[in-house]
Amino acid sequence: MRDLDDSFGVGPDAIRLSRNETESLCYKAARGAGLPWGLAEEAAWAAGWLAGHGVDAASALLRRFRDDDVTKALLAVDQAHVRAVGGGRLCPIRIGTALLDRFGADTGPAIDLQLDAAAEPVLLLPFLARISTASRKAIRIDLHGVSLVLAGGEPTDPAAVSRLATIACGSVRIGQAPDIATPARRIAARPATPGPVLRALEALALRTTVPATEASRTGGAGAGISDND
Amino acid sequence: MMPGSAELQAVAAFRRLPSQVMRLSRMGSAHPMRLSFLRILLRRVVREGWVFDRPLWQVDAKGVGRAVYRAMGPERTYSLVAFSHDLPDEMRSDRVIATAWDATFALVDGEPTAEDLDRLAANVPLQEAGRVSPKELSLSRANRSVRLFNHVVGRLAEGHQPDLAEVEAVGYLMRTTAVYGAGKFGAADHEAIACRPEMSAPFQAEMLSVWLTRSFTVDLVNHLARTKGGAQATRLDPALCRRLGVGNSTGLGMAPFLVRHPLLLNNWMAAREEALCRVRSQDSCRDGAPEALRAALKLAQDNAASWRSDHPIQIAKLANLRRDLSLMAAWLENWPDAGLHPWNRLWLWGEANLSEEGQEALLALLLEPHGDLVDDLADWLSADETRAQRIDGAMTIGDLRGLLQRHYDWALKIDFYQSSAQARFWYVSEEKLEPRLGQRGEEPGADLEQPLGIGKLARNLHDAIAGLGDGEPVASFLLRQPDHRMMVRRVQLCAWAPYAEVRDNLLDDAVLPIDLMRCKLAFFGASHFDPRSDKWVRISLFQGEPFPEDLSAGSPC
Repeated sequence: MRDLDDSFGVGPDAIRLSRNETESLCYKAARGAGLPWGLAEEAAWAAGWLAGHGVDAASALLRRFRDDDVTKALLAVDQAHVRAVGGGRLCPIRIGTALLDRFGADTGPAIDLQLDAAAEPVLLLPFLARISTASRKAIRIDLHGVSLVLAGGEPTDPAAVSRLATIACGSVRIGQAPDIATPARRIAARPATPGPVLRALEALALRTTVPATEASRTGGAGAGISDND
Repeated sequence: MMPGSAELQAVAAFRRLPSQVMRLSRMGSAHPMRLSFLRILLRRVVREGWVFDRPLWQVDAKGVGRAVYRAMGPERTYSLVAFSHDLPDEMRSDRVIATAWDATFALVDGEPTAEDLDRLAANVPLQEAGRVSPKELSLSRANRSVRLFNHVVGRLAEGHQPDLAEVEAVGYLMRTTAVYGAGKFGAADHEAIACRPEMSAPFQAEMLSVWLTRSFTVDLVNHLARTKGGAQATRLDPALCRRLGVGNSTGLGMAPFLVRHPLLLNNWMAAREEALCRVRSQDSCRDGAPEALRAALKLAQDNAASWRSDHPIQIAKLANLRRDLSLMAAWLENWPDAGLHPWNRLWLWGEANLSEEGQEALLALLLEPHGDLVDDLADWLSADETRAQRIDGAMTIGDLRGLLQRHYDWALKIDFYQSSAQARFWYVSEEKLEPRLGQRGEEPGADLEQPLGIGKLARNLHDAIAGLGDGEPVASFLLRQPDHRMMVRRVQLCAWAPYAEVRDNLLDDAVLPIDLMRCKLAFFGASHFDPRSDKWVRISLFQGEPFPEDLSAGSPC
């Protein structure tokens, strides 16, 4: 964990992943960390969205995967106040997808609730952005003095997104914002992911693979005969 | 009735259904056609008058060095940077676990500076072990066809042309073993270039890269022949050049692609089926179309004659194809007559009398004379896959159940207790992350299987919601059972993307991964599909097509 606390520099072996690489690595790592395949897909999509907005989402996801206190308890998202049974931290992927399932239509109730102790709350943003598009309503997020508005799937203030990424856990207020025009989509520079983070995610991803045996090496991929012609 | 619905119903009668089209054996009989990605690229560069040249050739007498090939369109330029290496024979391998190749490539967005070339020289030959930048659009590598390459160099060095039979037997001088685009290894993400008209259809950067690679392969043999034979050496005859494509060697890694990209697969299939539908629904034949069909059939027969494989499955399919093309030629002698919907009568005759191989070949032939009717469907081929991501949580369990029964009836009929129904499992090996197919119960790893057994997952979902009330929202079910999110997403997709799902059980003992691979490769525009096993194929791209330099010189293609 010590490497990940280095918030002043990303280290000499940091890499700027493409969005595709971010999604691919995070998908496999999420599965390796124990998420079901469907949630792993959604975690990967969220990481890709954030990477496209300049946030090193790979690091945020790794912190989430390593956080043993992140609860998997069932929750009722109809309540105005969502918290984990037993007082643990909420998983942003499970909560984000549950909120999108529940509020991501242009009919039905507008989102208006508070999450206690959401881990890596920046990972909620892609899902809330999606809600703002699907519900055609602007959404406001408040936590730890940072305010953010999402309209038409885009943040009004990209700097606020970056500030949110520095918050490890927080109580999140989500509600309606006055309708505004969709902010212009700004293409952010690829964020740098520190080398130790990449290696840790790759190690998680490796948990989804099967160690090779000589038999599988020759038989399983099909090229049992000579390649040369 | 709404106005025009009679017409909509009438046209729908000419459209094939997913239940017929999305079957592995038919997908495994797919042929390249007008909407194949390679064809789309070629039409564009001709229509827009692209210019091609080779601003750099620095290759020594051993064939080691670098080259740059430039493609200049009306608004943008792309450059293929090629590195040629001296690869010892024992290191040559097509497997993803290879570490060195005969030649390595990157397609640059624009023109490479001297610094770019140095950076690429340090990374491209390493392939997956190196990194490229958003200035690069694709990364690829190729190995020589040892048998043909050496034969060609040897003959040209002596001042003779190579043997036509040898050329035809292989069909390419070099074959790519991977062409990576779309953000891999640091390259530009597809979304960065998708708005460009020349990049909006699928895999256009990869197709351009392979087409320019083809020029490189010919330049290399000419160069080596000259260094070997000196003044008596000759250059490869243009007619023989045309007979050569770029090979591609593909293993199981490609097979899961169609399952992992259901919206993309839907759009490819829907575009092709719409094209067939438009042709079939015509009241009569337009002028010149029957002649164009006969000409295309003749080309198809020539192609089938030179198409070789040693694999028993493909040998049988080729026998069917050749026979069916002859049957077509005979039937066409009395076609068209004066009746309505002549194209449809031809099609229905084909469905009744030809093998699947022949039917899918007929589909491609029917599209050939109808460019102005179907070429616009290229716009259907790409997909914003994020549209397929969001689950509709407000949908009821009752509606979900209905969708399952309508689109996954094929899966719900399978007896998964039969050992053959779950005999295989798909997995990724730890070694270089290579996809593999295992036998359940006979080898380890089934607990780590990849989620490609969609039929089984559909059955699991069906069973999980069996006891639930019709009115419950999907959102509350998924809150309790998030394990089913992936399958729910796919089921909901089928409601508006009916060709999204392969309607066969990919865990079955009898599954042939090459069926999935042939389907994807047909959409690429690959010819001469040649399985080396049921999991490994060779194909050729651009065989018979013009070269970029042919277009720049103004000669017709």
